[in-house]
Amino acid sequence: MGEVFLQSLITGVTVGSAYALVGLGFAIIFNASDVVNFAQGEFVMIGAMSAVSLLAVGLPFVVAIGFALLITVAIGMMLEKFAIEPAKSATVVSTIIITIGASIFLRGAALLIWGKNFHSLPAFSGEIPIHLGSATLTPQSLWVMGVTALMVLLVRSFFKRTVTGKAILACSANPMAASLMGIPVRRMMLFSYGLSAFLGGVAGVLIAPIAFTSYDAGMMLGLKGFAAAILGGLGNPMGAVAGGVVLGVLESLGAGLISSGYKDAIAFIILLLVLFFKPQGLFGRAGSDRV
Amino acid sequence: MGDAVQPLLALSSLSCHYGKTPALRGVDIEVNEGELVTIVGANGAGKTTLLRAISGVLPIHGGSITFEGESITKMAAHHRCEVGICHVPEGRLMFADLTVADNIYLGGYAHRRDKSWIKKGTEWVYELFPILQDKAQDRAGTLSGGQQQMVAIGRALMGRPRLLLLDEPSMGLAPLLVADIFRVIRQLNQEEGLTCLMVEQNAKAALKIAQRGYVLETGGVTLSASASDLLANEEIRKAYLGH
Ligand SMILES: Nc1ncnc2c1ncn2[C@@H]1O[C@H](COP(=O)(O)OP(=O)(O)O)[C@@H](O)[C@H]1O
Ligand SMILES: [Mg+2]
Repeated sequence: MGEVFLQSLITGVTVGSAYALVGLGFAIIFNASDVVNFAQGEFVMIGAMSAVSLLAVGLPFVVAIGFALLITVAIGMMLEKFAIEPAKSATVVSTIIITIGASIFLRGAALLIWGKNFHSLPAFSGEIPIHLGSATLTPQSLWVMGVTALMVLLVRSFFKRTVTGKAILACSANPMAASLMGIPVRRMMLFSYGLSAFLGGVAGVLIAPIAFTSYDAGMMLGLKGFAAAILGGLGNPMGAVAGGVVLGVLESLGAGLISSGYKDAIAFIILLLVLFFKPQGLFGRAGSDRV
Repeated sequence: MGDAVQPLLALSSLSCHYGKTPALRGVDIEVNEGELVTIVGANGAGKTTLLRAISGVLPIHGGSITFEGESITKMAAHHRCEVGICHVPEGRLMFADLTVADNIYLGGYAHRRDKSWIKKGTEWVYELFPILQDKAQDRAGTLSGGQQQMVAIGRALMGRPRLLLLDEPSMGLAPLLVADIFRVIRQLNQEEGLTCLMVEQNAKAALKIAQRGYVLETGGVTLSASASDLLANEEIRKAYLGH
C-alpha cells in the first residue's frame, strides 16, 4: 500500500508537471485575452512530433529539440496572426470556436505529415532508475519535474520583473489604457501565444520519452491541461501549475489504488466537481494575486 | 495668436461614428503650444469620442489630425504616445491588479529604454502626488477615486507629454479632491508649460483655469471663445454653469 502510494505520487507529479505546463499556457492566453485556447494541446503534440522528426533526420539531440521548440513557437504565433487577429472584432465565444477549429486543423495537418504511428523520444539522460524503497524514479521524471519547476519560476519572474511581462498584464487588465500608454496590444498578444506555444512544446519534448506521442496526442493533454487551469482558477497561472500537479497525482493515485481504467475519468470527474461546486477554482480566480 | 504660429494640434473636419450613428460631425479644433484648452459639453456630446480619436484608439471616418505640423491621421495609437500625445482616460482605467508603481512605470512604456527619463519622470510624479509614494506597492485597484485619478495623471505624465489630454479628471470626486486635481493641472500648464486639452462636465472649474474653450453639442462645435468670454456668456451660464 505504502509503495503503491509513493510510486503513484512520483508518477503523478511527473505527469502532473506536463499538465501544469499546458495549464500555464491556457492561463497566459486566458489572461491576455479572456480566450480559452483549445489548440493548446496541439502545441504539445507539435513540439514532440517535430523533435522526433528532426532527430530522425540526423540532427543532434539538443539542436533537434531547439528547432522543435522554435517550430512550435512559430505555429503558436501564426495561430494568433492568421486566425485570432483577423477575427479581432469577434466575441470571445467565436474566438474560442476559432481555436477549436485551429486544433482540428493542426491535428489534420499532423496526420498528413506524420501519419498515424506512435512515436517517442529517447530519455534525455539514460534509463537507469533511482530506487526509493520499492518505488522507482526515472531520470526522465527528474527532467520533467526540474524543467517544469524552472519554467514556472521563469514565467513567474517574467511577469513580475520584466517590462514586457508587466505590459502583457496591463493589456489583459485594460487593453484601451494599455494602448494609450503606448503598449502595442496586438504584439503583446502575439507574444502571449508564442510563450504559451513554447510552454506546450516544452511539455511535449519532456513527456515524449515517457508517453508515446501521435498526431492526436494533443487532444487528451489539452483537456487535462484545461482541467488543471480550471482546477487552479482560470486565469491564475500559478493556480494552473498547482492544479496540474494535483490532477496528475489524483489521477495516478486513482489508477494505482482503484484501477487504471478510471484514470482519464478521474480527471473529468474532478473537472465537473470543481465546475459545479467551486467554479472559481481551488486557488481562486485571477484577481488578488494574478501571478 | 498670430497666423505665423503653427498650432500644436489641429483637427480639421474630424468625423467619427459608432456603426451608423454619428458621434462627431466635422469638428475643427486647434490647440496652441502652452495653452490649456477646455471642451465643455453635456453628457453624450462626443467629448470622450473626440479625445479617443486624437489618441488613436478609435478609428475616424473623415477629416484629419495634425500634430506639430505633421499629419498623424493614420498613425497607430501606440506611436501617438511616442510622439508625445498622452491621455488621461475617462474613468481612470487603472491596471487594477498591478501596483501603483507599476502603473506609473508602464506609463513610460514608450520611453522604457531611456532609464534616466524613467527615473526623472517617476520622481516628478511622486513630487506632484506625494501620497502615491506611500501607496507605491499597493494594488492600484485598492486606491480611492481621487488617488486613482492621481495615478492616471502620473501615468500619462510618464509618457513625456507634449500634449496632455484629460477626460473628465474631476468625475466622481469629492469637491475637495476636485480642487486638488485642478490645482495640479493648472500648475502643470502654467508653471511647467505643459499644453493641455481638457474635457469637463464641471465647466465652471475647467473654464477658470483654461485660456480658451470650445462648446461641443451633439458632435459639433457650436461656440469657440476665450475662457473668460465663455464664463460671462449668458447662454453658457444657463446651459453649463448651473445659473
Ligand atoms: N462604444 C460606443 N458604441 C456606440 N455608441 C457610443 C459608444 N460610445 C459612445 N457612444 C455614443 O456616442 C455619443 C458620444 O459619446 P461620448 O463621446 O462618450 O460623449 P461624452 O464623453 O461627451 O459624454 C453618445 O451618443 C454615445 O451614446
Ligand atoms: Mg465622456
